[in-house]
Amino acid sequence: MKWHRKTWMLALLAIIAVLPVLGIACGDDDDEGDEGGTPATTATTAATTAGGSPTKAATKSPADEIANIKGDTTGVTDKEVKIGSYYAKTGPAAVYNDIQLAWNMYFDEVNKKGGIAGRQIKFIVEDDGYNPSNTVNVVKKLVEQDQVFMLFNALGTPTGMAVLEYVKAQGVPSLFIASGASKWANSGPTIIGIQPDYVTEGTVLGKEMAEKQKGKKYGILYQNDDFGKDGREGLKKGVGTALTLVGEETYEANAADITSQALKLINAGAEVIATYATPAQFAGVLKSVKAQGKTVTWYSSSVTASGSTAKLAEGAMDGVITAGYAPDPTDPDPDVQKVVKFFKDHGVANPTAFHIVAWVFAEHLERLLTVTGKNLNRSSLIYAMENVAFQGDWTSTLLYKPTIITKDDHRPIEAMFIQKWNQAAGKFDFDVSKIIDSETTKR
Amino acid sequence: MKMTGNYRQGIERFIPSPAEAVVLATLLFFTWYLYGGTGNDVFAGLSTFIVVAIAWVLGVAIRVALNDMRWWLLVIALLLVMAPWLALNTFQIAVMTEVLVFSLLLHGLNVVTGLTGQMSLGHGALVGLSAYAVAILVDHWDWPLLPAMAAAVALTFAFGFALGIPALRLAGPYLAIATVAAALVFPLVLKLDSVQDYTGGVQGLRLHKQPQPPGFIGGFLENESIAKIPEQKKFAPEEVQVKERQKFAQATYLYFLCFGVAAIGTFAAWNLQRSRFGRAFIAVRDAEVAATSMGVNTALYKVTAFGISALYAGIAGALLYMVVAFVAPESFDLFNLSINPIAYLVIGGLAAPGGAMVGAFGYKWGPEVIKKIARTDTDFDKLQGALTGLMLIVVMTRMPQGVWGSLTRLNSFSWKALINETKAWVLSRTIAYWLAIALGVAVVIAIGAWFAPVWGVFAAGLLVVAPQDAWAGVFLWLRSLPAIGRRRAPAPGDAR
Repeated sequence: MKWHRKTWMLALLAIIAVLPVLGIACGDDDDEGDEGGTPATTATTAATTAGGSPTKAATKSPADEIANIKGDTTGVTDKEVKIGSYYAKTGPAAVYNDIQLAWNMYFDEVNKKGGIAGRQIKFIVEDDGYNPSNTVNVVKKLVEQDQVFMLFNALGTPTGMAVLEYVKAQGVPSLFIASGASKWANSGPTIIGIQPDYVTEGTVLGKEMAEKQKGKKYGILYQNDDFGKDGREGLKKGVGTALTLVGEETYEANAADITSQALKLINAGAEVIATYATPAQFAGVLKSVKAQGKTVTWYSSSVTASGSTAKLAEGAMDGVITAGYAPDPTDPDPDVQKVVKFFKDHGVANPTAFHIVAWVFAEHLERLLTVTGKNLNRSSLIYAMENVAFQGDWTSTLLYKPTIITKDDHRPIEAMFIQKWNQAAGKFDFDVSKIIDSETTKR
Repeated sequence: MKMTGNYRQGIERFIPSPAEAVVLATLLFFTWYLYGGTGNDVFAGLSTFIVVAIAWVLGVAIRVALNDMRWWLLVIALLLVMAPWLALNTFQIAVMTEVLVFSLLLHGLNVVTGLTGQMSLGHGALVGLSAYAVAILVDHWDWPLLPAMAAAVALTFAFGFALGIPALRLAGPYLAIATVAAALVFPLVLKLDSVQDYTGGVQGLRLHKQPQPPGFIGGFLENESIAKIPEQKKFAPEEVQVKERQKFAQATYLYFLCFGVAAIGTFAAWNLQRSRFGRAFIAVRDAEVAATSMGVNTALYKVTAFGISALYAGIAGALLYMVVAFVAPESFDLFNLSINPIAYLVIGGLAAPGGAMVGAFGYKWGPEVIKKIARTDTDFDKLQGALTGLMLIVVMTRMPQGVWGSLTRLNSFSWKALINETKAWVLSRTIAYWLAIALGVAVVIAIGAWFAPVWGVFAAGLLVVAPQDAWAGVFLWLRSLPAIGRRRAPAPGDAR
């Protein structure tokens, strides 16, 4: 009897082994017939709706044209516009939550003054914990259940990548994504990032390293996703052959501690470490490397360029060099101080660089909605963004160079500078005259 | 279980009785007559077919219901068929689709945990394996979706047997720990540098085209979707409305694909339990030594249980990828897909296909409901843990057979018995015990109301006093107060 059962099992296993082969055979015959269907239809509809290029551009100015564009008005009424976003309110990337809270304060104020074009701005911000699987779920909810008009300043590279295709297919504009992935710049008319992309930023940082640390050994420590990989690509490009690379280490976005990776690099002889890490992990590694008595020069991405990172690092951030595109709240510039005062009046004890960038992001959205005006729909919004709102003369009150967005240039903020954290003064030292505007040096 | 005159067994259940045949023929005639007037023959034929098919399924369901006196089966079946039209929007349809997918996973867990009594915490890895296998075959080797899904399910099935091998030597918590290894390692393996080209690392893999409803079904569903267009979009340009209809058709099509698979899966699970295999599984669970002495090959049955279970998990994984169109390592972590499903299976009811369905429903809708209650996202995190723990405690102490088990016992339900039982339970404890509980509850509510006046209810107390699952511990502690608790030794008739 036993023998019979064994043969039975063997036969079963044999069938299992053969099945995939059969599958391949079927696959060849099938030619994607039954699943093919009409996959492109939704995408093309989205593209045509969103593109909405005017036909009579020659006779009318672009600004007048906006009022005539018809399109999808989901989430828009005469009284209100519903805008969605997702942020990490919990988990390792929850430091960024300040940004979302800050632009909510900004628009609360705008709403009190009567809103934009008579409409109140209503935000629905979902928590995805910086976990792409959650993002897929919350964005589906925002789009299909809450019926939001657009997504604004959604946080994160891996999270954004997970929903990019869906958001595009649904025709929902996802504007000013809080991530510097280079992918946003060429993902179609309805998608756009906000900050300088990480490749450009990495190149700027790398060039600075090549200039100041020539001949030294360096290591790269980066987050194992598009954020980190883009940064690494830029760094290597910028450094060239000026420094010797002794090693590259990665860590996962949800890692609690990345000290061992940094120590590996130091033990390999690295005198300079360039990191593409998020604030919590970066602060942690600074602290523990300092506690171990090792000295190393740190170069870090603009995402960590904030007083709140320094606070997390408990004094270990002194001398860290980062790239930046917005001023620090300690900047004596009257515009900056006005913004700082605004947030202090709204109950934020110590406004950080996150509050500053949130202000910048919010100004971009306000500008766009103001320019689009009464006739607000998804097509007119994109048209206004690409043709009217950001054509070179508008500058955010806190930035140094105007923001430029055109049909072919979906990279809003491109001017950057190098800055160094000064722990004693509690602020970044930098030279405004040395702003590197990548706008002029397009790739 | 009440036997009636028309009691039928096996395949006979699916053959219409003469009376039903008359009803079906009438329906056939009328639908043909009604839709025939549109001049669209394909459409008329299809509609007729669908209406008759639904009537036939209902006929079978009614018979089963009458035989078993489980009338709510009928209601549930009806609600499930109508779910896409009951749902308020396509997001809810998608959630319902996932409920069906997860019911398959829970059926699988049921075979291993409920029937065979083996603890597996590694099912997240099995679901992930299947989902990733489909994803890689489709994404990397350009396989069509259907063969890729078949291959992935076969692979998972084989892998399940392998996962069952530790079950031969390990028992209880040791087996649980051995299987946990699979669930813990799986997401890490996906992120290894050497396989990132295939798995996409943390970024995961996307399905670029979900199955589209074939022309005529799509047309039918799009026509039926008119009421589904959100108020906002009713005045939008034509192409927006067309897209909205396509969205509904797509979501509903996916729903019914999963509905078909889940229906077959549920039926198979239900049959399995009554088969030779099922009885052998139960024998292994209840008394392994006795089963061996009766000639049951325990080793074979344990491994087979894991295999069958993996088959279900594999189907669930493949469907999950098709429905969500995205996989990332974080989706398959220990909590999401290994521990939570078991918790909800226990809440739903072990060793019963219905329990798996109820569990899947709770698994998907529970968090959505809790999200509505919680004011902030941090509250949500805590509340979810607290409420899941609370539910587990209540179920384990008050309804050992889960929600479904309690439902099926409603047949013999009588208010009198309930009152008597409750009375006996209350009286079996001293006044001091009840005073202590009342005081505790009062303190919790008071603190809750103080810190969060908006809630002012029990839930706030849960949050403030006992973050996360600590509340479950409090309950356990209360239950273990025999010294002041019990007045006399428990008699056999006492409620637990």
